[in-house]
Amino acid sequence: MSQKSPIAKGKIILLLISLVFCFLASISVGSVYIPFGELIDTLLGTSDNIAWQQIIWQYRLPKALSALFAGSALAISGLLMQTLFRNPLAGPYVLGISSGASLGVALLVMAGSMIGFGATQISNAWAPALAASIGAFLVLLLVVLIAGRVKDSATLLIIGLMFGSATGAIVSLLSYISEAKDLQAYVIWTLGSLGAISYPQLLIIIIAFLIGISLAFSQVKALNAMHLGENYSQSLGISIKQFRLIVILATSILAGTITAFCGPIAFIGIAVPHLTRLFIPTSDHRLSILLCGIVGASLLLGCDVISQLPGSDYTLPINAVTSLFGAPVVIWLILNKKSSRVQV
Amino acid sequence: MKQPILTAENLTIGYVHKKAQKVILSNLNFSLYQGEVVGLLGANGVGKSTLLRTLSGVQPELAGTISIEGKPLSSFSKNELAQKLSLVLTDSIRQSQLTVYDLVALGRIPYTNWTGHLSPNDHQKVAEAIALTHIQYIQEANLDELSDGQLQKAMIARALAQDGEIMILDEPIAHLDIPNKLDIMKLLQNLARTTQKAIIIATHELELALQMSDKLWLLECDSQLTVGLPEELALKGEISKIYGTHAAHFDISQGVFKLHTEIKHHIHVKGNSAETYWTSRALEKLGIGLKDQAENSLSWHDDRLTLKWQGNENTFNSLGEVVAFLTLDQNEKTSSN
Repeated sequence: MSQKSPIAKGKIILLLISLVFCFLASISVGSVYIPFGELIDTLLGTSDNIAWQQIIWQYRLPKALSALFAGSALAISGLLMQTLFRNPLAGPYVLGISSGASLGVALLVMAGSMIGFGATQISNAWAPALAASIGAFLVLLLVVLIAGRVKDSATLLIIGLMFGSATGAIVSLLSYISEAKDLQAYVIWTLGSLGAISYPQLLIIIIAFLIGISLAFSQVKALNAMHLGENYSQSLGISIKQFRLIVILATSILAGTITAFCGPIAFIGIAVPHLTRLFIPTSDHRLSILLCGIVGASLLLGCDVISQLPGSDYTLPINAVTSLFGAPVVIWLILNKKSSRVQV
Repeated sequence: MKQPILTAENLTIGYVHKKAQKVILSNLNFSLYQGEVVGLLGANGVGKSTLLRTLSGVQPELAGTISIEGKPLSSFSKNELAQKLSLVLTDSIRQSQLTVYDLVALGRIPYTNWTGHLSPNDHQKVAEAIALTHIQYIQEANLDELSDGQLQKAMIARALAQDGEIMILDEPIAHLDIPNKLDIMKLLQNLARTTQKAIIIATHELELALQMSDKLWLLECDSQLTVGLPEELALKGEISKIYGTHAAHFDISQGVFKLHTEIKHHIHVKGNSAETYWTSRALEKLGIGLKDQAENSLSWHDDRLTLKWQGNENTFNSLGEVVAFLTLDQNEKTSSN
């Protein structure tokens, strides 16, 4: 690919610095005020304030790490889907992963309470994660079975959307007949949360992240060839079916795990690949996977800071923040870019 | 005797749908040689695309064999085949952020390791392909900044960088203006000569194909593939056979398509050969054919034309005036009838 210019290198360093900045900002804000110096001391293990140690090590650090991995994973799966479908509107959830996960959680919380368990389970971090995983996995299984049979990816996209509609309908039915408190518990899950994660869940997220990233990187050649579409890729010796399967698998592992533990976090997956391209235009997926990972992580950490409403005791749902603050930013960036192009 | 690079024996092509075979063409026999430009011609829907897809290994053959350098096509792995055969398709690729150099470099995918890292040799092949297609001046440009002609050259450079012995192009000049059509066809002809690649061009541009190809492959509906020297096929009337419709025919003497017109009158045109040719084209539209010793005549002079038409003689300043006069004359007759 074309030689990386020094400007691009400078921009990459800038991105890394902003990632570190967002990470530290995410750790420093919260309902309890901890001075920045103390924060660093605590992280280095030289502080003796037990309460602050507890807050930072048991609450803020796992939350910041999960924002880091979640943002990264969602952005990369968004990139994978946009490349696979050659569609700028594709995102991690086009294959119905979030619909499957939502159905799993809806069944657990709403249908489960009808037969005697459920609402209490939502407070347990594992139960909704397990339900979401099973739901997402079943949808994935269907998609993979179908992916082996269809000729073009556009069909797959439509089938993914149909799964979304069908599972959405079941969730609607469940919400219609379920009790208010169960419905509320479900709605809260759909708003997304980064705070419910502690180290054991984090470990699973990191393992899934590494597997997903490795699968994605194993396909960089095919991903690059997909700039030319499926026919050209095939003529370059790439097995489209195998490529499609591995990319679907990588996306499902990345986005599925995050959805299971954090809920369906919208916006990051679709927007970050575009933001990244605006900032550093590159056609080489070896670079764009990394860049999307960094930008996605920074963005979700940034949104996490905003959701803490610095200086207050309230926390906003992360899903609302990502869309509310992210969408105008992206619109502004894209319009800005377009107008500057016209001027040139 | 040169060895063919690709041969097909008793080839049957078509689709398999729900275990039922749909045969498009059967019993095809042909060979392709190094350094040869082949024009693949056939009316819409006769199976050109199916043939190209079968040759490029995207679609399996239903019967018979295709072999490349003596080895059956099915024995090639996808990657090995990609090193033998490259394609230029009609698929649109505008939406991406590639530069021309990146695009051409994608042609090296069959040769790189799993990360797609380009070796110095790969970079050299890319530079060669860019030089051969004369697009050095746009190699840093983004694809969305290119004209259609430039983009098509970049796509050809990409196929060249893939460095196979065979290059197949599907309608490479379909949407280009005439200078670009000629430019691309000339480029392909030169590439075949300089790189000794075998180039198959599927096209509807019959007149250009006749001029540029070393061989034509003519596909007829439900029939054989006819292979031969373009000029010979034209003389034998093979081209008229596949392209003749109820509205037009292939004029063997001039190598162009002509609309059928009913000749009602004849005229003798006196002038130099260019004047005579273009006059005949204008008059044919009115149903007036050329014939020596006809009663009617039209003579070109330096600044005027003299028309003798059904006994009357008139002088005109331009061919346009002659055509206007004759049109009026015919219309009056139609209305008085």
